[in-house]
Amino acid sequence: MKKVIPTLVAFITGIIVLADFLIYNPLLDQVSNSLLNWALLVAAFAFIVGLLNVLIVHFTRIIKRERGWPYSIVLVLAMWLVIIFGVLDPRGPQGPIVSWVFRYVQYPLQATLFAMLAFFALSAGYRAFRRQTVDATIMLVAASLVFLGQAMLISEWGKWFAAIKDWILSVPTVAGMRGILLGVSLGVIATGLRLLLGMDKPYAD
Amino acid sequence: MIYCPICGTANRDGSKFCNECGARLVPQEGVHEKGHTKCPMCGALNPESNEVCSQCGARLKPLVSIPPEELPLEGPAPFIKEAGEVKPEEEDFLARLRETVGEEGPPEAEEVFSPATPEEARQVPVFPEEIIKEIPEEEIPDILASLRAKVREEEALFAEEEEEAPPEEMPRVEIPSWVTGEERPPEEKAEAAPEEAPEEEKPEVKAPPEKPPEVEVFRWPEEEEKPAFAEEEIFKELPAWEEIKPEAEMPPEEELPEWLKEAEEVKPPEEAPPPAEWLKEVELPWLEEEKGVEAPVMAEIPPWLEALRPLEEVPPAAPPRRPIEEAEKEEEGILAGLKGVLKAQGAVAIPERPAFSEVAEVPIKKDLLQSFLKLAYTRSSPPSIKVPSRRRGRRRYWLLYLVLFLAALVPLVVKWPPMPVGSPPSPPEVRDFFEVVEGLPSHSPVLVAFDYEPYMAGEMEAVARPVLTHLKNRGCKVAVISLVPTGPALAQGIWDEIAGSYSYGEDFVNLGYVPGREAGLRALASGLGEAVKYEYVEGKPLDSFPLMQGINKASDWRLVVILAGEPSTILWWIEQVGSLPGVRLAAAVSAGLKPYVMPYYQSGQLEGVIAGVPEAAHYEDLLGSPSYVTSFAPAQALAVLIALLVILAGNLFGGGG
Repeated sequence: MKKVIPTLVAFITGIIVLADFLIYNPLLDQVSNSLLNWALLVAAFAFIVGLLNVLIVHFTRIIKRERGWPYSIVLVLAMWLVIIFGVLDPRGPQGPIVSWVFRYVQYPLQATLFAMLAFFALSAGYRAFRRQTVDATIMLVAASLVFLGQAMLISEWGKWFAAIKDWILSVPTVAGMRGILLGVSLGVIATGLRLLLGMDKPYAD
Repeated sequence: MIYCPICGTANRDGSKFCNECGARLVPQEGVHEKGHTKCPMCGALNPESNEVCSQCGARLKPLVSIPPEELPLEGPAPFIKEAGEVKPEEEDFLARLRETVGEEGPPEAEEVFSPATPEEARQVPVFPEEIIKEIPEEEIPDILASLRAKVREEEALFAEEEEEAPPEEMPRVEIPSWVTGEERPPEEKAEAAPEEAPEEEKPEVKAPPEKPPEVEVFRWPEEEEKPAFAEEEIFKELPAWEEIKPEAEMPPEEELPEWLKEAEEVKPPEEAPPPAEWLKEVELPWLEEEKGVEAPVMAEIPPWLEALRPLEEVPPAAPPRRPIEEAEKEEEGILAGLKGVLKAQGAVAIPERPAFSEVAEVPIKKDLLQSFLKLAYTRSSPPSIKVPSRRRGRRRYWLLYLVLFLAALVPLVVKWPPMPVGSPPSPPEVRDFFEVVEGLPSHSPVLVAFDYEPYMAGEMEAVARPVLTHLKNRGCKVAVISLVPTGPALAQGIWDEIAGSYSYGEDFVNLGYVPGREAGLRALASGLGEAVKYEYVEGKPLDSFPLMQGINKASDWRLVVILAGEPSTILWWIEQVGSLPGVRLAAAVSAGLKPYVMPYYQSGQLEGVIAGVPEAAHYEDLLGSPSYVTSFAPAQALAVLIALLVILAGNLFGGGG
């Protein structure tokens, strides 16, 4: 019974939403929209569960004085400050304090960390991007041509390299990517059917 | 790093033994701490309670030997059956047996007999045989019946042995003293020798049939007790001693066994055979330089062998060794002339150098031997191992980082190189995007999805700005929405910068964040009110804004523009919203997502695509107002060129690794 009920709920919900996607019926559409609204409520409630989980994890670290526990204090304090000011401000997340924190703390920090990826990628390419095999050599040549197509934007010769780059990205790359997407789509269909038929029960674990 | 004194391998700091050859890296301590035992093998200090070394497992305390008389007796298990183990069918039989036996009775069960030797075990009265014989066959249980059969077999066997046993006068073979290991006193030897010699000469002692010569028959001590052969068999193989004449007697030396004769015939070793030809050509530098021995005459060496001859080098003069007593005497400083101030270290810890005379006997070819000798003779210190300098590697990468940083920074500062206008031509997917927006009627409602996180904003803002600028220029009514929580804030910031002054709710509205990913998009496609109830900035219902009048489902938007930094979000939009009839999609994505979106562009599911900063620059070029993207696109292009050159340099010059 413990497994039958979740499987039955998942099966009925999936069939209704799938049927609404294929068949136009006002009643079916209304039921499907209600189910989707429930899904949005559950997804929003997941944020509250995640918030509680973060608090429990970091409070535990602080109490046990685990490694890096001062950072946990900073995290918990910053989180509560943003939440309190966002809730108390009538403009919500558009309030001055929350906007300032986002614009001048979160945004630059994330952008800076991602920008450092350019340096890591450069050193990795210098060390590891070698023509050791035929496949690696082909990849190196193709990547060099695409790089040149990007870099020669500033040159009068850029149109030639740009044409080569566009051909590489539009013909061989798309051919490979189309095959991958078709395979992924078939896998999604198979997985959906297994979930609908109760063969896979990730919700029952 | 600690370098091994034997093989030169670099080991980690704190290592006790070499990882390569296992040699000790830390000198052994000569101090015994109180309460500790020093391992005789590895020198580690162990607590006194340890029986074996905790480092190497060597035994620290000697095993205690137990005298044999204190050892517990081991032998066959006592023949006792406890009362609990007696089977019910045997109980009656045993009760009657006790009555029959009467006073004699079977041996008491409490008397446990543990025979120490097999002979004693044989003498154990397993069961009174007379009692077994008196019992009728049908009353005997199986266990005793088998016992009776065994007794009978043993009786038959003993009877046969008695018949075949040799007579009492069978001479006992005297065991030679060299077999038993006993040494006879010299007087005995001296007396025995003259007695034996004349006895052999006497004809009556020649060979009486019952006394064969001692030398001919030999038995090991274990076989002495039991007769291995019948008497007839022994004498049948013996020679007819009566027929042997005195003159035909064998000389004493011929009576020796064959292997002993061979041992006597071994002659003293002759002179060592002359060395092989190839060995004569081996140069022995220490003989020439240290002992002054003339080198052997050189044979004619072929040119190829001559090429292998190592260059002659003068070996470094070895410091003269002084005896330890002399070394203890101080020669310099204020302590000059004093002895025993500092104890001189012995040469125990110095590894022995290979003995060249032994090496020369190894049968290897001349060139190999010559090179080996030269190497061993000239090597006076461990080989220097090239450890890659970590500091130099770091410096190299810092140089690369600096070049990349300058390549990106300098064009932004000096505004060089300029971006050539109209060259190269825009890709078709960018032109299509432009044509779609250009073809929108004025005041058309357009939904723009900001589906990227702030870490992608550097690239994605460059893509989003020309698109939003174009929409604004076309007079479109723009509503923004996002599948990521930070998307609405990003959209609001960009629109504020682009639009300047605008009427919120009439020209622009921020619908905020839609949770639920695919489910949220599915609800949005079914009806806008299902996914979004209130707008993001003022928190008012959507119906209160003029822009939202008449917008109920996804197909009511004249165009949906997706600004995506990750492949999953753009696929959700295409699958959940783009599949509905009447919905037009166009995508502006990061450069890395172009391979993902191009199949959908080629299939017509996306009406236009802009990927990355270069294509955004093309879009600005198409707009005819190059400003934001065009200002930093050359910097990115130069950085990409530097990255390409670095990768090619790594391939050509093999740097890094």
